[in-house]
Amino acid sequence: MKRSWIAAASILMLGFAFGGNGVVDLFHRLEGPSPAHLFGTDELGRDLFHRWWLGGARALTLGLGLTSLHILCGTLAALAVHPSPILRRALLALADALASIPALLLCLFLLAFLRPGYAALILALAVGGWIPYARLSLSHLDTLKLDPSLQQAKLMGASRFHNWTNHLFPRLWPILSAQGAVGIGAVVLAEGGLSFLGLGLPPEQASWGSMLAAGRAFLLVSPWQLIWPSLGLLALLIATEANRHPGEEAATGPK
Amino acid sequence: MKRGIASTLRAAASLGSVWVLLQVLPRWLPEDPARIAAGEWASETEVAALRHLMRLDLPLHQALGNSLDDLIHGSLGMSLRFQRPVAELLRSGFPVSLRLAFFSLVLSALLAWMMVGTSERAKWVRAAAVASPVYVAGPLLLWTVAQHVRWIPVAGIQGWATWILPCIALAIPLAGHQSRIVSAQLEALRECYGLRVWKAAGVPKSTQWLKWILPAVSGPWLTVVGLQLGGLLGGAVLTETIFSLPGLGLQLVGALSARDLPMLQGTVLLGAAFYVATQLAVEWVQGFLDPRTR
Repeated sequence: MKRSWIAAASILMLGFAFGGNGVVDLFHRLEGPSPAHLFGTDELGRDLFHRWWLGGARALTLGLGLTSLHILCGTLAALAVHPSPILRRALLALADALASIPALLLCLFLLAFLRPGYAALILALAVGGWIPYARLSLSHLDTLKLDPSLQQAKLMGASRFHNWTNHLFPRLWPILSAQGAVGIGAVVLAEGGLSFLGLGLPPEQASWGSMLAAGRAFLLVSPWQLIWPSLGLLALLIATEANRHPGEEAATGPK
Repeated sequence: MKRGIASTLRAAASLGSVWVLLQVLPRWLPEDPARIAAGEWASETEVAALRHLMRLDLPLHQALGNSLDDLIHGSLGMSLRFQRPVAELLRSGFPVSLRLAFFSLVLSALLAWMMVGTSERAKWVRAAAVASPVYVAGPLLLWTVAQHVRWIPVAGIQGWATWILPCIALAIPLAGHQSRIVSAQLEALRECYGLRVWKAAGVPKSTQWLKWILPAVSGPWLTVVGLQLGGLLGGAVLTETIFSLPGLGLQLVGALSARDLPMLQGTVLLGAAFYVATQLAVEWVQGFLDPRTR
């Protein structure tokens, strides 16, 4: 139910994700909320509601898109290596190594030598993002392989593609999507942090992270640019938090 | 003992692969790091000189050999921006970040226990805490507290009051995650048959807590704390930027804008080493607390 709510909201917002960047109006800088500008204006006189909306749409779009990409990369990697024990070891070792670099540090290291833009952001986040999905798929593929219906399909000569789409993926999906619901929040969080540092989305593109950074600079003059994206992030992250799979904590506890 | 050695070896192996990855990743990027560092208008010779300093002109095995040599001598290479050994620069930033990490972790543990509970309200408080990353909580704290309370500095290090706001900002989301795990554990313990027998038999509350509840909760809680402590050097980047604290995070951001590859490699390697060391320590402490994990 909540998941479908998020999906609906993001599809609604998707249409606005790549809209313009707002009109600069230097005579109305850093104003509070008014009928003309519902949320006020930023340091260049651009409408904050417009930018807030764009920032939210981009955060959600990136969150959904990148999480799908991570799931895709993770499962494909797991699928590619799991028949061979050596390759599987190698993949897990790579995952361990990448996971032992704090996520933000890895992103920053990669972004230092990429040209700023969407492609750089996607690449930097994807290098570490596939790991949980690959681990999950690898750990479940072994038991799923023994499934009688899959065995039967194999005996009847079904193609690998058919087995994957009709037998394996539908069973992996509940596990992967539970992790992915948390992953969306993590991507939004990371994008916000990188944009806050000026390394995420290109500077002219509105993002909650870069709005917060600008809001921090003009804190004493007008706090509005700080307040709106904070509320937006709070709402979005609480939504993903509420979406967390309830069985997850139990899995970490003592048996 | 055997398992201790095995996990140490595994940690060393993954740290070794991080070191190799940090040498290999810049070579795999779609564009030449030396060109990006030198700028669009640099001449070919300038780019080549920079490439040499970054050791990207050498074949991989030689670059790795040189880097190993640096590691053995404890210098981690030369910073391109400061012309000083990277290790020396990191040594000046590390104490600041370590203090920040330590204080905020202690604070987050205290906050986490305050947020524990199974009521709807406690759940919302926890969700809100998790949903307040440091780049939201930090500027909001500056706005609400720092501009009104005179003795709290807004930026830079000025005595112990410096640490109050950064630590609160960093601790809030950490505390939310911790208390979620702790609450789930306490909830699970309510179903626990043995503990119910103790309660029915009138075993004093203090004994219940000391002998049963705390040991049962501390395992998963420690796992989370370990993961968080290991990742705190990442959180330090944002915190130190917001509050202008001269630690590793600010050094990393500086190295990033200067495209100082050896400095970046050194900082990230230190971050990974810190993470791996914390994981090892947590495993050791857990083996001590819970014989089943030994």
